[in-house]
Amino acid sequence: MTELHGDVEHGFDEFLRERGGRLWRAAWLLTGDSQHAEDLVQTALVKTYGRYDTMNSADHYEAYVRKTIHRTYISWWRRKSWRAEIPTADMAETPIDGASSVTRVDVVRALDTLPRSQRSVVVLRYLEDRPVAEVAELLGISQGTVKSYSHRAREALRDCLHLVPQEATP
Amino acid sequence: MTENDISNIFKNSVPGDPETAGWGDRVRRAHRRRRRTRALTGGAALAIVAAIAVPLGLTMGGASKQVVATPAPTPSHTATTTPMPLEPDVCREADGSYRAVTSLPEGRLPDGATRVWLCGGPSDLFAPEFVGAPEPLTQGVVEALAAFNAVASQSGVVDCPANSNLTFITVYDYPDGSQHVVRGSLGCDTVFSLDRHRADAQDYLDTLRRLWNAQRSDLETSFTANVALCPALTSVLGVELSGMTRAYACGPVDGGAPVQIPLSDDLVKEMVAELSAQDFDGGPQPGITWEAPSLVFLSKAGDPYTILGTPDGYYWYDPEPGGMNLWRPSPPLAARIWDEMSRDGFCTAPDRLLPSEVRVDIYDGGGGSASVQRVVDHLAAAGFDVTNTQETATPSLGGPIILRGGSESNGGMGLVGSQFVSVGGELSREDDVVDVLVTSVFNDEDPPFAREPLTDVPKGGLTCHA
Repeated sequence: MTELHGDVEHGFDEFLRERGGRLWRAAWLLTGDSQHAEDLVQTALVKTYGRYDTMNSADHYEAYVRKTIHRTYISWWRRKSWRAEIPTADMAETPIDGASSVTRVDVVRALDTLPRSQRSVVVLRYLEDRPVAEVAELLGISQGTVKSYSHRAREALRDCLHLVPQEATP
Repeated sequence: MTENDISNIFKNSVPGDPETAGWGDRVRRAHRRRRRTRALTGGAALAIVAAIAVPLGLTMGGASKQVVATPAPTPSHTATTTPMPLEPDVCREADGSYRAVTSLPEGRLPDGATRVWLCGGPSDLFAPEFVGAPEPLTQGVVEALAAFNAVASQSGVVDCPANSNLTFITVYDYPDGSQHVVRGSLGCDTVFSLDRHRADAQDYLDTLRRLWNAQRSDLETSFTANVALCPALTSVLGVELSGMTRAYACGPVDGGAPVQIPLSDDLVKEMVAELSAQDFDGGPQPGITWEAPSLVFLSKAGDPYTILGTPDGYYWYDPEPGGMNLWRPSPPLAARIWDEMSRDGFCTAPDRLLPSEVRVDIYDGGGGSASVQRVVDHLAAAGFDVTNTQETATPSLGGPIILRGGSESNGGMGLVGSQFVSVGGELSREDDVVDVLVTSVFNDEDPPFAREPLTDVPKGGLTCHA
């Protein structure tokens, strides 16, 4: 477990340098868009910043931020219409190879068919490799719901033409 | 495609890490803005009061009475004007998050507050979202403030047994434009300010409810504004379903832009009558899946109450004491509800005729014909004529069968060896059978679960997925 740095500002910057990318990757799969992902992570960080120096480890704070990311994402759909803006055309800020690009577009399209709560579940399960019980606790839902959402998401992803395993491997 | 395949696809498809330099500064600046906004919001309170007062038809001085003359809305397929938020802006920070609690001088709310706003607070549930009153308390402010200050401070760890998800926020306005914000949690039975916490949130909320009710009675408050109630709002004021005068169907569910369809006055009356006559005695836990349009009721004073839809009925969590209620509308009323929801193609009305003969394709994926036969026997014992077609079985599937339906709402009805057996009860002909699910074992960590869950729109009779 990583201890939080004594100097709050410096420690927070260090936390972002070490773990910001990881948080952003989860947010990217949630939103399918680089800028939205950054907005989501930063919103969660702003919400949680006041608690940073009260946490006794970076792991705890990261878990808190992660929880806030997912809950913010799920609640934002009431107020924002990301689905109307979406996403695949403006994803290419980062240089990517052709195969990865195709897979990436398909992943976003597949995930975009899922309701937000299901999408949040699959990101936690399959990007972050979190067990069912932990996902349930993090999102405040039952384990049965997590399994149900995971199953539906798998079915949705299976239906995507290009999402076959061999295309996902560089 | 296995779970590992999906995991690999996810991990390989995410772009490279972003440049995080500067994030810390931006977060700190935004955090400081939040704190400043909190202080400045008090200055905007008068404007907010005016903005809310006009549509509500309230007299903010509190001395005179005013009866709102705005006619009740005529049910129509879609609202003619954009619904406004039910809660005033004072309830939220600039970024849309709930108001943060403030530090109180000497741990007490100062005397001299002129208004109190009651807002909803964050909940652990996806739905419903708690909201407070659309109008401020202007009568009995001194009593509200005294009720808070009378609550004894606590020390040590707050114990939250989670028997309620209801949280609320109260914002006190002062003549100099300043505000103080405190938050209550019934699950923790605690009221929080920034510097301490106090016991007896329930007593404090009860006082607020009594004061709001008294003010509304005195002012004869009638709420007629067109407000956004979807996807699921419930008031912290503890309203009774029997007092609801309007209702709306909300959908689509769990994603997409919410659609809010007003239901007719006659239908609302019938729903309220049936709900009020129902004797609730608890029920099985249905999970939080929310698969069908929900109904949001609205009281005369503007307090919403949401019951969440499932394919075969409705359920809702009573915030106090946190129990769950189930309602399966009578068939004629269910038909009318679905008829009104079906206008403009919002929903597809289900055919709820129960078949006398059920053909179930039961697949034996290695569990043995004895398991299959037990399912058949169970169905037959429930009065169904079952045609066992196990000879057409697909070897790749197996495990127990779950028959959805009945008062379990989202819960599966375990028949043979199902992990849901404790959720469901015995199948009977009184149940609307809406789906049959064949379970399959994915791996050791992911125990048997429904192979094919229900779709959003209920299916009539029995639908087999295999």
